[in-house]
Amino acid sequence: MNLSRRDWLRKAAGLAACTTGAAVGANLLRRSAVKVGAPMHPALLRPPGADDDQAFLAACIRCGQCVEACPTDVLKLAGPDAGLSAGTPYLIARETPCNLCEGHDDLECIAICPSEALHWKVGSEEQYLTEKLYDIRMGIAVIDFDRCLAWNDQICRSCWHACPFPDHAIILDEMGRAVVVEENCIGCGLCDYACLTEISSIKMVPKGAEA
Amino acid sequence: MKRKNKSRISLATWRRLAAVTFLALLVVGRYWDSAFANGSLTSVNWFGMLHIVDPLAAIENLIASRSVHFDIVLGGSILAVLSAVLIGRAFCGWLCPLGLVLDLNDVVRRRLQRKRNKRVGPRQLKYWVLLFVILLAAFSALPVFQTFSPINYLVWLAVFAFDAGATSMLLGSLPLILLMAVEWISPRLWCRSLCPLGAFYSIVGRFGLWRIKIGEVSETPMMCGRCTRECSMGIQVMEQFVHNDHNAIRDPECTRCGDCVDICPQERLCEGVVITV
Repeated sequence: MNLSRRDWLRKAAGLAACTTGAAVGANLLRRSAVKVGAPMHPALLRPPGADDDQAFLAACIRCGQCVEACPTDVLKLAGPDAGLSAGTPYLIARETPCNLCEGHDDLECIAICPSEALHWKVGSEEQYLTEKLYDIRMGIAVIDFDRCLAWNDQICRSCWHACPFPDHAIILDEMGRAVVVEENCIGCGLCDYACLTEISSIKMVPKGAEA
Repeated sequence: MKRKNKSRISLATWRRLAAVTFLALLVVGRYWDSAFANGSLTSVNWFGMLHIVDPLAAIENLIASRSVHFDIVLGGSILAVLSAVLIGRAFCGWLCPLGLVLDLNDVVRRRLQRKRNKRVGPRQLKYWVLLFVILLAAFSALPVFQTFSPINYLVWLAVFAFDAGATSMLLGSLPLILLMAVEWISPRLWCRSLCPLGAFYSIVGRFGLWRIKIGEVSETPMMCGRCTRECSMGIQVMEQFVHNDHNAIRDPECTRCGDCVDICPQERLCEGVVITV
């Protein structure tokens, strides 16, 4: 191939344009990827085993295998309206909470993920199978004290009953009111699903959207 | 001049069948509980054993996540190696779901639009798009093309139709509608000039062995040029006839769609494995 000077100039210009464009575009995308809750990046409750959202968005290959593998069909695939999260899995705790694959040997979404966007932290699978301890935090439950029945002088412990780790993640204080223990709550959303008030008084705050 | 045997099933039918089957398997895999075709285009898990990964998605994943995952590398190299050794850019012609939609759209368009359209748009542009997409993944640490690809949008809409809300259905179909509208101005503009996946397969599949062969014709051939006019990739098939020692279409952008084979009144073209250097 015989490239003239004009061809080389054109190629160099193309390369420069590509690099500049990519750098500017990447910067914009990066900025919106940092802001959880922004229109391009809504705060979503991720399946168990996901890292914080920036790392998760980088690692997820958008194939939806976890959504298909989920035995309880609670995972959904975010559509194009989710911006940077398009094609990634999420769940809505109030509608379909994650029961952590109760009765299964493994968490199916973590088991199938090809890109390890969902993954066990070191040594955790062993712990999961033996001691049933989790480090697969999806989010944290936050109680709305104005709405919660127990915090408004009525008797209710639905969330405590629903919690997979009662007396660890949700404890009852001396008045019988539910309190979330942040370091033990994994954000599965079973309490959100079980909450009796019309608008749930215990909501999941996705990991990374706490502030 | 030999008459064309009309009873033969055209390659267009075969390749549409292949693409429809592929998409149908993905949709069935969604609703059938056993793990036999889990996933969408970026990564499909066949029979719970083997991930087959879109090679461009694999590259983006590698670059964006800055880490190597065994399943992704293995699954991505399967298609890349297959393309390099055998099928070249045939993915575009035979399996691509977006290609299928544009192809079927074309059937309707040809009925309605009498005027023949020019295939405008520089073919080189898609290589720049590929470079841009890879740089974008590197700089932003996000697999950007996989997030905004109209091919993925189409597959998500088909496979996860019942999960998607109205807004995402609408937003997801916008690029598809746009691309179908573009067909009326410049057919296959996306595949020819824009698609980075097609550019990737063009580069990798340069030496794939399965090609459109140009057969020998003893009598003086009639140069009608219909193959060149028909080619949706804008390949100068006639030129390949004249200046070609290998008796095969060597253009790396050939999607092996077989439109030229179907149209040739002299049956001088056929698909087959050709060793070209």
